[in-house]
Amino acid sequence: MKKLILIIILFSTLQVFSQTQIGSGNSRVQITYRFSSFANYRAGWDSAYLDRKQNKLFLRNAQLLLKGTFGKNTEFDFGLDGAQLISKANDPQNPALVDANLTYKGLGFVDLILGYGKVPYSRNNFVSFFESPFWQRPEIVGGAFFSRRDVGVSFHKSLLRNTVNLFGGVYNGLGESSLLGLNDPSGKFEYISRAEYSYPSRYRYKEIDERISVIPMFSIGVNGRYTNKVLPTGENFAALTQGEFLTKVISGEKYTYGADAAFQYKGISAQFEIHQMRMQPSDSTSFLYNKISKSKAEGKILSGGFFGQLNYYNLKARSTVSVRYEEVNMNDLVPGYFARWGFAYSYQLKGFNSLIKAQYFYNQKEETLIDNLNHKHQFRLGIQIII
Amino acid sequence: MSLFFNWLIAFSLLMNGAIKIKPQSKMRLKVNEPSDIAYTKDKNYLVVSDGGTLLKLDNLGKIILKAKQTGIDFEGVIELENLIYVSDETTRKIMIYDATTLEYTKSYQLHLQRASNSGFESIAYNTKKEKFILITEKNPITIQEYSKDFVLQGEIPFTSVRDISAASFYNGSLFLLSDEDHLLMKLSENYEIEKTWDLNLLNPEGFCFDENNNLIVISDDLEMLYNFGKIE
Repeated sequence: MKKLILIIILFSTLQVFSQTQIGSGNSRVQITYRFSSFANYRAGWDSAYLDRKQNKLFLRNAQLLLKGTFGKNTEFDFGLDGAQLISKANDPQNPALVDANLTYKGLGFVDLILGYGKVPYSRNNFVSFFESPFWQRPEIVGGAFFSRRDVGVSFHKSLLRNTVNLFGGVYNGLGESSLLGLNDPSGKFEYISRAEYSYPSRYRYKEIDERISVIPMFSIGVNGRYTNKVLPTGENFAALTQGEFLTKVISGEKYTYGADAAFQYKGISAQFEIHQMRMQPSDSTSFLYNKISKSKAEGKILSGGFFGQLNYYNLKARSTVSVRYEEVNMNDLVPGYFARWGFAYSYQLKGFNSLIKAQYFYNQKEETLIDNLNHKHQFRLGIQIII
Repeated sequence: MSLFFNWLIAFSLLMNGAIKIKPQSKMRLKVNEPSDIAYTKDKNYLVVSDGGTLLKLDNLGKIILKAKQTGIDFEGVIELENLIYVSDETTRKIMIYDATTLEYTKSYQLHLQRASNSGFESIAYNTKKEKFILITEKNPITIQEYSKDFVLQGEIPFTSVRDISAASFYNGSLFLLSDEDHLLMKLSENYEIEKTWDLNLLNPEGFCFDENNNLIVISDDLEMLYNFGKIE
């Protein structure tokens, strides 16, 4: 902890400049370096259970991002995270390859996006981690239940002064694991779409009302995704593909739908999201039924959750305080319910380019059949820098 | 830490001393993401947009002329001696147009190593010093003085607000607008703040003064033009 505080003091004395652009005219590349590191500490272990392996310092991000244009109509995004390159975890919240895509704006009526990047599902997915006061995204949108990134082709259309935004795309459906070189024996895609409306003007993808909005602003969105990946007999998805709870990619039909809302006014901002997955495994003896007969389960498994977050940004104090509540039910057929409170404080050394963030999680309730955290409290303290 | 307290004191003085003003009238603009406005000799408005377009509008907001030559991200515009000077923030170019026909004439390529969206957000002309003033948006804000053929003459840091979205010379003084702090500032010759006005407006990106000395402000996100009347 002393070392972390020393690092924070050292960084707080730096004159941090922002990103740099190379080139000018119509061909340009902007280079950005993003760094974040935190100390993690867990406490309140269940009796007869103690695991201190997560009580350590983490290097979360060491990202090099390139954003550029060539010609008037083509843009590209490329980003690598050095902190994740040698990790075997393939963490969907924090993948090694951040972006690798092209956006073509020459069609006029829509923008086309080709390659690997964030999928247009969930408002939270559009918000950069570096603009959140928390060290973790809510569980339901963190990438364990549905992918946050994938390889695909998508479109984006803005209407009515950017107050209406429409998105749609076709993706591999393997999420972040699309890059692992693993084949998909089902040979089927995932289809994702999203629509959002904001009033009275466009609403930027930010959690914090850093501009101290002088009028109330809100945004609502709905999104859905569908895939039907049926595995041939004897074939399996690679382990990493299926995610932490083995529900991210399944053999069978999977519908995912959700809605979100955001509000901001005079430094106060709030976000709410709710999502549900309906899984219909192709195999009637699928482990997802948890030994419950398919007929009794009505041929489906439901999984979902929600979160609500409230933030207050004080410009004079350069500080943000946030509180978040979230619930997840991992499988409606068996115990897997989980509820958590989160509290965060962040202090801006130099805007969001240099930020100290502290986070406390209280795991209020967990039914322990599926995901066993076995602890009540988690603390994180660290710093993020954008250069 | 002392820097922080200095900033805190300066900011408190700035906000607490600002005169709160409200618009007397407003109108919707048929311009996508308008980013700056200038008042012309022929009593019309010049408006530039984030999409890189230059337009001439009449007093009712009707588009009467559109420049054929477009850019990438126009952020500042002024009219000077029958020419129109436009700052393209992303490409770091100053593009010059004929004031009557909006025909493209030529451009100057400037150099600024920082993020694409932290380039020259505003352009003004100091008739007394015969210098162009270009101001970067943020990270950090710098006021740069250029000769008439855009050779850099001097650079002054400006730290009183979070960003600068527009600049204009009016009655011999430089006025600056901050979008994020929705603040209009009147500066001395030494670039010190003399007076401030709180516009209480969402996303004010550009401003000018018309022939009747009315303050005209445009909001980018709302695509609206606001007339605040006389402020001095």
